[in-house]
Parts: sequence; C-alpha cells; structure tokens
Amino acid sequence: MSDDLWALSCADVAARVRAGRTSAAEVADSALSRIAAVDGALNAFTLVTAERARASAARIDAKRAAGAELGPLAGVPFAVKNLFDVEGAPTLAGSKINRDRQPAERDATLVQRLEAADAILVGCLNMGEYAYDFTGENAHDGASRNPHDATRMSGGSSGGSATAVASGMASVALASDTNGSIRVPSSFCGLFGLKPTYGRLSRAGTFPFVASLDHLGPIARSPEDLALVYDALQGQDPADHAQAHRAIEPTLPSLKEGLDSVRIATLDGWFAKGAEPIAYAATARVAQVLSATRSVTFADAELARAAAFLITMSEGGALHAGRLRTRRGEFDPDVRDRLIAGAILPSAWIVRAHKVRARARAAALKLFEEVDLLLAPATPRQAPKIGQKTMILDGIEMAVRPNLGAFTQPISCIGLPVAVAPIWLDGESLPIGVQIIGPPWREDLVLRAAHALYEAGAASAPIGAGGSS
Amino acid sequence: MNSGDATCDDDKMDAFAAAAAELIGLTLDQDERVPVVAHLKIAAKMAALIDAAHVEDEDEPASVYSL
Repeated sequence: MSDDLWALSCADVAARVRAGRTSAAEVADSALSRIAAVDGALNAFTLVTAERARASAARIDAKRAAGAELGPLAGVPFAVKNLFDVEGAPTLAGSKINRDRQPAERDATLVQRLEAADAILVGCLNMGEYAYDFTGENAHDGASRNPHDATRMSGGSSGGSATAVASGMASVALASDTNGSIRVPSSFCGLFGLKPTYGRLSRAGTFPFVASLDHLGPIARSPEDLALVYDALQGQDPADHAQAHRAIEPTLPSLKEGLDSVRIATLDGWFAKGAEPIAYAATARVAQVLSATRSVTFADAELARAAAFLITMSEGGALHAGRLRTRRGEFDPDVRDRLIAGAILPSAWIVRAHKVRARARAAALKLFEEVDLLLAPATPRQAPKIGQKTMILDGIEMAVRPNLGAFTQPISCIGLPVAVAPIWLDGESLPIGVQIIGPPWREDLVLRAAHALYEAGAASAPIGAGGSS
Repeated sequence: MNSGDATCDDDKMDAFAAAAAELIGLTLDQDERVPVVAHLKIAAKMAALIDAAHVEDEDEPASVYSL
C-alpha cells in the first residue's frame, strides 16, 4: 500500500498518520517517488524540497511517538505556486528576473499555517510569468502539462499547482487567483478549486501581481480536502494590511449539511454566450443535480470584466515599471508588452474602472437578495493545445490568452467566493469546470454545493495518467 | 486620445505609446511599440465600455474592501 500513498486524499492521509497506521515518512517518500516518476514529463515543479519534506516528516513522526496529538493535516504532502515565499529559496513568481532575488528569509504565512497543521511541503510549482497568464505556459521553465492529456494546457497562471494535484504529485496545492488563476487551471485539469472572498486569507510573503485583485486559495481533488485545508489557512495576520477583520469560520463541520432551502440560480447574459456548447452542458448538468431551475442576470458582468482587465494592466504595469526599465529583455515578450501598455494607460480609465467595479459589486450583491448561490461556466472551453494562439468561440476567432478568463474575471473583480467543480460529461476525455459563486464570506456554502455534486457523482477529480508511462 | 476612444488611429496611438513610455523612463523603438500599441487598442475597447457606463461624480472608487 505504501507505494500508493500519493494517491490518497488529504483527509485519508491525515486520518492514517494521526492514527499511526502510516508514518509521515512513508507518505513523504511516496510523494517524492511520484514526483520523480512523472514530473519529468509534466513539468509542474521548479523546486523539489525533498530534504525539508523528509525533515518535516521525521518531526511529525517524532511528535506522534512522544504522544502529542497531530494536526488536522498530519502528513499531507502539499506544494505551492512559486510566488509563495519558501525559506531559503528565491521567490520566482514564474520569472527569470527573480532568480537573482535573495532567498526568502521566512515562509509565507499560508505555508507556515499548513506546516503548523502538520502538512509536509514537497516543493514549489511552475506558473505563468508574474501571474499574468491563463495558459500555464512559461517562456523560461516551459509549460506545465495537463495530466489528462500532456499535449494540452494546464491553465494559468497556477498551472503547476493544478498539474501537481491532478497527477498525484501533491495532495493539495496553494495557488493565487487575480482574474481566474485558480479557477481556469482547476477547470482544465479537472480539480476542485477554491477562490475565497477577497481579503479572507493572508497574502503575506507572496509576490504580488494586482494588489486590489489578488486572492490566494487551495486546489485539491475533493471538496472535503478543500475545506480541510482552507480551514487551516484561515486566521488574522497583521502582516497583510488588506486582510479583512473576520473571525475564523470553519467550513468542514457544515460540509455535509446538504442544500435544503438553498436557492441556486444559473447566471445568464454575459455567461450564456461566447463559449463552446460543452461549457453550457456542464453548467446545465450542475444546475440539474442541484435543482437550480431559474436563471438570473448579472447585468454588469461585461463591465466588471472590462474593469478587471484595465485595473490588472495598470497595476501590473506599475508594479513592474522599474524592471521594464532595467531588465526588459528578460521578460517573456507576451507578458512584457502587456505590462508596458498597462504602465502607460490613461489614469482617467483606471479611476473610472474602479468606480464601475464598485457599481458592479453593488449590482451583484443585489442578486443575493433573491438567491444564495450562482452557477456559471469556469472557462469557455476545455483545455486548448499547448502553444495554441487562437480559438473560435461562437463563430468568432479570438486570441486564446486573454479570453480564457472571460467568465472568471467578472467574479474576482468583485471579490466573491467561488468553488470550481470539475465535470466530466459522457464521452469526453477532458474535464471542464463550473463556478459555484457565493455572497461575500460564504465559502461554507460554495463548498457545501461542491460537496453535494461530489457525493452525487456529478463532479470528480480522477488522477491523470499523463506522463506516467 | 479620448477616454475609451477605440477609433484613435494607429499613428496617434503609436505617438502616444512613444511619448507616454518616455515619460516613465522607457524608450521604445518602432518594433517594440507595435505589440504595445496592439495591447493599447484592446484596452481602449475595454475603456470604451467603462466610459459608456453610468457613474455619478459622487461615486466612490471601489476600495480594497472589507465587509
């Protein structure tokens, strides 16, 4: 059995290690063996922290041997998008330039929290350069590949996070989502992802992209694993000044309460056009299983997307203006050119975009007077081929890179919590995700709905074999 | 270039890119400006949507909010 420990859920690993049926050292060795076996073909990791993982496992096993109770994530192997600080390693954020940074002096807050819960860090993960990406491609490290078809995109910018979890190299991964970077990879790689409410989780010790839009969250293979990990991530951190003053609100205790009296509607309008039929079929399947029979309109969705687009360009451009002056040739050209354009956008556009963002948020909150949860496709299509530059949606040819986030951007622009449920429709060899969107701070509700889909067999996250042969 | 003016022609957009980049210390040659102008055009279309939206003078820009 020890050979297959890498395939277990977070909940199963923690239960076994806490009970002493499996040692943390066995789990760590199994995860490291899985990484050694498949990462050469899938390219998820930019750093494997094998020595640290074995030391953590030894500490956990010693703690148990001494009679201490282990944490809720005992022995769970996790990995982090390489924009999280990991002590002793430079924080790459997907770039070549950051390789010159001094190694981080301490771990990011969320890394500290998972280790405090007795999880085991196994490495840092490939990502789109400076998180400005929906594809999972990287000009410096190469593309992270989709475990369900290694010729396909993993999605971005947290592509390595999704690849690692979908292939069993990690039980859970931490990622960031500014415009869709948890939700797009979850959709393409067939995983459950959670983008919490803006301001919920500490971002201290992570390399920023767009401060007013950046969220952090987990990607896992079940809603139960998401809840288990998310609960361990919560808590106030004075080091993140944008974090909301919220008490810890555990989601695991209510995960299996069901959805009686929960009002669920499908978003129409912007979310009902511009995608391949399979995106709507998956959303309809989710609506059917959750007994969501009505539709509602978020009338400002297109405006929210436009606002997110402009704010992202502008804040991203401003963040990198110094590096664009001094090290322009070391950027991925696709990223560099958008950042330059962003750095020179007229300020009148940006200030107005923020006003529109406020208006869109108010309009969305109004919807939650009528319903409790909203459904929408996560991506307009399944994973494109790696290297694919254009796609045709609704008969219109368009660029792949900026348009994969058309359905995620309006939601992160207004900070709502979202769980992605991976759907495998009959006859399909690739998954596609559906967003379950809640009102602010109701991560418990979006996870309950995802769990209901999982229990009904309508959403699942099988481990991909891609690259394992 | 008007706010959200998606019809701004290529020469004006190119001149804007050159001058605005210079202001922040970036000197871009002609070849470097071509993709930048392409991205500015996409941004201008987004800005046109934003410009057409109704907002009041008194509306506060969205803060980095907490409830």
